[in-house]
Amino acid sequence: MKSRTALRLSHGLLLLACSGALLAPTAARADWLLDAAAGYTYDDNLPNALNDSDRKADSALSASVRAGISEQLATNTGLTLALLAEQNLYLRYSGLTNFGAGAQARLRHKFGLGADTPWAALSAQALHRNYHYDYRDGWQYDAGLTAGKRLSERLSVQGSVHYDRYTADRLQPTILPGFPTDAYDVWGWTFGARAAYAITESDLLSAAYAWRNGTVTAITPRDPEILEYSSALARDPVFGTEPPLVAYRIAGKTDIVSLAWSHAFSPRISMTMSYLYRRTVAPEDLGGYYSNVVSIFLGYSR
Amino acid sequence: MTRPRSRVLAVAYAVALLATPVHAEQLRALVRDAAGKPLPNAVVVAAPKDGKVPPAQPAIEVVDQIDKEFVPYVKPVRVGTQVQFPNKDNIRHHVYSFSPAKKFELPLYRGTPAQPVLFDKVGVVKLGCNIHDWMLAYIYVTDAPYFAKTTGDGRAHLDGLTRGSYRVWVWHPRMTGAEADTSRDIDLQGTMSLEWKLVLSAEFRPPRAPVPGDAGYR
Repeated sequence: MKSRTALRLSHGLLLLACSGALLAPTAARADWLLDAAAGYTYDDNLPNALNDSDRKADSALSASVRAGISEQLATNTGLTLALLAEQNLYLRYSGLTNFGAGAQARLRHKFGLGADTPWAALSAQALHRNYHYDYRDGWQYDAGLTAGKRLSERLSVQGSVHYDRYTADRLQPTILPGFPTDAYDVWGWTFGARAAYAITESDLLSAAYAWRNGTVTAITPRDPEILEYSSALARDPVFGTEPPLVAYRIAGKTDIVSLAWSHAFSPRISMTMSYLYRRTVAPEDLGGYYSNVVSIFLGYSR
Repeated sequence: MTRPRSRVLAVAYAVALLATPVHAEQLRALVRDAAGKPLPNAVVVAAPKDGKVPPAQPAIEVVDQIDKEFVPYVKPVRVGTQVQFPNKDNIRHHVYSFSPAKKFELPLYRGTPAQPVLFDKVGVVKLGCNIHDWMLAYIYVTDAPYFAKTTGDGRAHLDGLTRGSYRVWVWHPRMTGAEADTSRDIDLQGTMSLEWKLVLSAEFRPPRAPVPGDAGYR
């Protein structure tokens, strides 16, 4: 367990060191960026419960900051390196409260000159999350390709493909012989499309659809049927201990639909309200689960 | 004493009132939007109807880049003027224009480019930055000898005119109608005041403020 933790931490430190090394030489002449956001999120199915009776809802207050540099490597190609930190404070299920810190890199290329020119961006991010419930601690990785184009003054579209992985730092003691306990270790591929339309000079309406194929963690009371389709299970007291709840890792295909409205108060400050519907279908007859997530965020960009 | 001119989108209301004669002829313009609010960044242009115009003097004007914005947003110049594009940010910009009146590109640079850009054709030149897509500005190139840009109070003063007949018109980057629809023929003696009311369209730029999920810039 210790070696697993050490390995993850060393990955993180290496990533941060590399970011710092890359940032340092160009710092004096680079485009410094500082983004900050604070907001509120409500999720009506935090455990990803398959049965309605097991659903748990909660709200979270969140704050995040991203600082780094953007540098044009060539006429049409720019590199952004940034460090991130975020805090999510859950109002009821405190075990979910977490602090995340990490780094991200993004290489963006424009295929020509002008605001309407198509572009593509490769991105990679690593974030270590430290939860109140320690067994959830781990690294969240994301890497992907996004491409987009402004179709008119008001309409822009983008498509993306991403690979995500979450790897917990520590493993729980075995609760069922022969079954791994890395139930929080999940991964998947996500294919997404997004369109944004300016309804006024200051208001942007966006709609997005994404499809994810991978593994998810669902937390429910012990269920032999779910166990049959699980590849890992671990105890999870975050949502209560009576009855005892178990985190199962199962395969799932997820549809995600979201709508967002952003209002710019100034060139640097905006507010975004969003609604997200997520439905995951598990294999065979296991069924699935769904979530509704609403959020409101205030954002600042230097 | 305003008189609405129908059939035009950019409705021009003109009030031509001869005030007390002064030694030098002067044109005072007030431009408002459709709601009656003073409109800055409108260019008021006056051309002698007899075609006798003073020759253009070589001039160098400046359009800055400050805090990832062009300054000023609108720059009127006479045809044949050269314009410098100094970058006063500590980062690089990439200025370009696709406008028929002047197609040019100043690839990634800091400081002030060695050579200014010559604007030798009449027309509107729309400027952009290829790094910061929200950056937008206009250079209005005219062969008329007299012009001025309205300030925050919607007013512009054209000085140095001689007594005579002029065609006067207004241009604004967001006006919905044609410049020609705003033109007025006047006989200038002393100081004259003119007023326009323009119908504007919205200006949609790529967002600069943060938008979650938008991977467009950095």
